[in-house]
Amino acid sequence: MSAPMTGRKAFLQMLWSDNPVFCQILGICSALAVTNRVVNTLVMGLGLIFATALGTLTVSLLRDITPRRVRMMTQILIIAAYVIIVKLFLDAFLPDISKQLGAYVGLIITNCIIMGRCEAFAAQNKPWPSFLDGAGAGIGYTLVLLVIALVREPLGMGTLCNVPIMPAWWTPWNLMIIAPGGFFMLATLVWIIRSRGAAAPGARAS
Amino acid sequence: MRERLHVIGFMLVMTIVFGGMVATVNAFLKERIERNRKVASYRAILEAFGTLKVDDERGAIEIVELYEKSVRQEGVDTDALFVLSSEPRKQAFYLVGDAYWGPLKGVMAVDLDTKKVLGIAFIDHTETPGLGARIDEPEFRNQFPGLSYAKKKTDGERLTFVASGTANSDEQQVDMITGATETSRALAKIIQRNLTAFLEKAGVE
Repeated sequence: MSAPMTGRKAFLQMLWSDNPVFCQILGICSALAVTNRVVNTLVMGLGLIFATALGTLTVSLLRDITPRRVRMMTQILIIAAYVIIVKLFLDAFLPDISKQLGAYVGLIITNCIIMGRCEAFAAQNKPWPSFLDGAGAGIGYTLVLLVIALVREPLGMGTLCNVPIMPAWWTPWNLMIIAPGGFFMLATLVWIIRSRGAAAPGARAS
Repeated sequence: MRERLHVIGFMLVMTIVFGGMVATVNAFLKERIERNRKVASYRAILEAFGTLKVDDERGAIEIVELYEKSVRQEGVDTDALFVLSSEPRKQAFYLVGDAYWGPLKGVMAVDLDTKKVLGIAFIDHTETPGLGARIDEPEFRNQFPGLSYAKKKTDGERLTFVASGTANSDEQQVDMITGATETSRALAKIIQRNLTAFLEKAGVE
């Protein structure tokens, strides 16, 4: 086993060299579904950052007393609790956005990124680095999704943050609103980033 | 055996702790969430009548006030009828049914004298964001105000959903949403069923 990861290093890796979306290719379905609007993407991202950071922190705090056989059950329980709390807050304070995000907030529970960070990092590392790793994963995810949304919303709906920005003669590209448009945008982004030499999965030293 | 007990005990404690955490947050926010639901319902009814514009920025309290001033409810639950107090021939009813992905609940308001739709609004549905969920958008909903429902077509249908861009409002037609065919079809059926039931109750042919 190599030297323990510092929190700062873990955080920074999550943003670029081991980014959950374009390096590990995780969290894809929500990446496709919510990115047709920037505001929704932002809210979704914040919810995920909250759930992931607190989830990894909690898993790490409990790592020494969690029996190995129920490791995953415990992780799901913790993640589910935080995600439900996010949903409750959204329903209470941002009901319109909550309605637009629909099932995808609840689906954060099944998002591979969170379970991945809990299992691959938080279960073996100290609380503060785990928190930073989780927060970094969430932020890395959110940044990638924002880039995609910043292209999909203007092209697909003619608006940015629900403010019309395209000139009157612009015909919205319906393709950008539906899932295949998200696929194309994501694939294009991964291609561009990988050809700039960014890490492929497995490049991160364990 | 000892280990097994430890595992079970651990899971029990975890469940109680985290379940308790969620339950506590829920208890604090329950009232607010309920109020949001009520306001969403009122807003939909007011929007269907046209009393409230789609992008109206009024807050929750004002909406409740406006609703209590303008609308009278007759009947309860899904059979409820909403009457505009100032013009009782303008009435609204719930649109309830199964859309493509799950249950849908909305409101449709009509003018019984002119036999035209006043508007449509949605309270709850689980259609795909960006696709079926676009029924919420002004572009789709704005097809309904002023749309006649007077003529009953050969198959009993009043409002027909047709391919996007080809709708003729004189023929009582509505544009479907591109990429959301199933949601559009399901909505057409829901509207047909609820509109027919409402007209029967109102004593219209």
